[in-house]
Amino acid sequence: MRRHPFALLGLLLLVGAAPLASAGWTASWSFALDDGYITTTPQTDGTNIFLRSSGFWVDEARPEVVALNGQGEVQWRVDNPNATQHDMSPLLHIKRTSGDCGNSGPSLLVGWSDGRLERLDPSNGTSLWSITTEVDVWGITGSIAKDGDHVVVSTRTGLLRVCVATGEVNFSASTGLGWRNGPTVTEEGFWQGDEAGRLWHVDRNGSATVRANFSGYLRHPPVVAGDHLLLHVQHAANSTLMAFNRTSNSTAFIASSGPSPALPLRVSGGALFGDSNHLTSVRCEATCWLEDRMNATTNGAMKRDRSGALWFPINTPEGGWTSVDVSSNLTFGTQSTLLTSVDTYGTAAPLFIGERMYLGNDAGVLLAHEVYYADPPPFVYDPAAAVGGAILAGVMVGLAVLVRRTSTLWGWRGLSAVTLVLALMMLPDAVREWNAEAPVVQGPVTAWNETWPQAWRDGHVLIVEFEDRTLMEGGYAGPTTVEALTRQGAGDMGLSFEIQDTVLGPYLTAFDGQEGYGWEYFVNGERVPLSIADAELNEPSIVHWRLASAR
Amino acid sequence: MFEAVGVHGPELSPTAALVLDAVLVASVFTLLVAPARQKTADMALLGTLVLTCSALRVVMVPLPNVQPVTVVALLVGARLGAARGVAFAVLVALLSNAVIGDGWWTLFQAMGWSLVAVLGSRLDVGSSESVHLSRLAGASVVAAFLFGSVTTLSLVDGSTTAASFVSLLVQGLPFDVVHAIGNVAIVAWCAPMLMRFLDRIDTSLEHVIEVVERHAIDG
Repeated sequence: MRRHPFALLGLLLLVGAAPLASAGWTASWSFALDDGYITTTPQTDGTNIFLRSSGFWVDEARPEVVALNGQGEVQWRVDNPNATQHDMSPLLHIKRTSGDCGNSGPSLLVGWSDGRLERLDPSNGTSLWSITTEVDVWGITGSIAKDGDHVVVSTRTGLLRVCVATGEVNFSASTGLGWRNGPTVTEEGFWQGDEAGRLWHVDRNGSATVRANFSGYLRHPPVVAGDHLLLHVQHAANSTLMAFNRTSNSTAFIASSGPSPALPLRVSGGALFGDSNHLTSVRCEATCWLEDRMNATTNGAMKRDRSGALWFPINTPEGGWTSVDVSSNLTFGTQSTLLTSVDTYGTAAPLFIGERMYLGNDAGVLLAHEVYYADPPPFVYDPAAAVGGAILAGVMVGLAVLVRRTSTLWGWRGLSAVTLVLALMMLPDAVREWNAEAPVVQGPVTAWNETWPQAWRDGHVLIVEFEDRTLMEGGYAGPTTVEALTRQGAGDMGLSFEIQDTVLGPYLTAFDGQEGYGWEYFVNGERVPLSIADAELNEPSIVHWRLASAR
Repeated sequence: MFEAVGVHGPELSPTAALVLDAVLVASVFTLLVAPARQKTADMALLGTLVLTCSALRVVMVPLPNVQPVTVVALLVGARLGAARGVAFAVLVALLSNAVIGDGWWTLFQAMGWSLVAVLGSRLDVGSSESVHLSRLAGASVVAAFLFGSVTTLSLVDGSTTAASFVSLLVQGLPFDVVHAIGNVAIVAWCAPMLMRFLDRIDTSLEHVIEVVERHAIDG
């Protein structure tokens, strides 16, 4: 009778060795522009997709902005008969703003190559206001950035700060000639580069000064990494990665790289850079250094999906899309390529909305993909599960033989060792399932605060509480996990963060380098005992981060 | 590991941490060194066990909540008595946390393993020739949950209610279960060897003190 538990446990272990489902992407629908390329990343309000075309001025064809619903049906389209150059200024969707210059509802900000900055109503494409900026061959080609209740935009010859609600210009600063440059917003003001390689700082009064001079072109918004600004300086046949220290006003060379830089992507602790030859990661602490590098061809925008994998279009005639796993210390892992039926040159990053992905390229086609979860394959056809089951069965038989030939003690020793190994393997899943049902622990914020901007009400609110300050951002409709919200919100707050991979999933260990004795988070006032990737946000939620010592 | 890496409780100032460590060391001194007739060889053997267990705890950090210290504390309590068991528990907590990370939680880990040692002192685990393994395994399972409960107290603060404390206990149950399974495995594999090691230490210390005290009273 004493040996029966071994046989029973062996049976249970075999039953428990079930195979896991796998996930991938499958194409669902496509939308083709009549004319033009999709060269900038589509935007979303959480439901609809907004894309713009560039190029093509044949006959009646003109660059346009198109709104599609989730099924790929056109909601509205607005063209610009005066646009005569490539329209490469990325669209900017803003849910709401409120502040001294007035409150605004949903907005789609469009910068046109004829110099116009226009605010469209995302629901129907109606122009809410439009202002004209200077044109020198072309007008606005750089990105637009949100700055509270204003937006800042790089014009052809400078930088403009405009109230979103009214279109009233707060200030206009003259800098150098720019192309696809775009501003970066920091507490001390705004940073942007120009075609002469100069790094400009514009303070909040609109006073512009050159803070550094690089030989080349600066064609992207500078990337904030702690005290540093990271820059990818373009030259005729190659490029250089540079760091500018905002405190000491010093510059530092990081690495040489290939031609035609992509738009760098800010990540925790540094940035990711692309060009025609390489994908490069750079990390910064007191100094900045090249962390990892791999061969790649990407000259446009890049984006990370919900799992943290980096996606970018392959800008070659054959095209396609590359995804690369990026670790928390910015080393590159597994790389894979997604090929579609319309692959060609591309520079627009994918758009991710929930479990959907939208890919646009120079063919002028937007392809919608959905996550699919493959059915678990039959047990008998899964070699890994079969081998695991066979090993377990072998172990159990071995234990039985051992018990018969020696003593029960050896049976218990083997059984306890096997059980411990299995328990450790199952612990992450067990914790996830267990804590989904476990009673909640109440935390610091449980309800909507009426002093918060009304613009935040329909989205998630992110609160990061330090010992000496508390930062908040809100109105996020897109993120579906605490990890996604934290990545997006912390980026908007200008906070760097560190995320550590553990056996239980990713855990956030530091904001702005502050680790303390750990960070804990609460969703709608309840402590969530899950990794940030597993904590889902299914409705507008208040996510509150605080130091574990903040009690 | 409930919500973020490193969450254990309030942060201590350097002075508070120093005072806490000093109190713990003083308690060890009182328990271990103050009693008369403590043999140097025994002290060395116990010290070896403390160092070995501390090192083992440090290298086993990647395995969540597999804690050999719990079983050893149980056995030290059972074979050498509560006083030396508590001294062992406190020393291991102090030494290993000096590497893993010292703080407010050290106090509760020391308390947890001390209670395990006291539990062990009330346990008849047999001899090195005939270890009562099933009894020891059962006690090690109880010890896992006892230790988990005591260390959860380190998360208590002014805002913690009885209900939220229960919630914390419930959330930690999967880790306590792994702790218990690990304890059973360690008992099955290591208990006889540990018993033989502990038999090399004079187990009569408390009897000696008791006899001396009784003679003094008689006198």
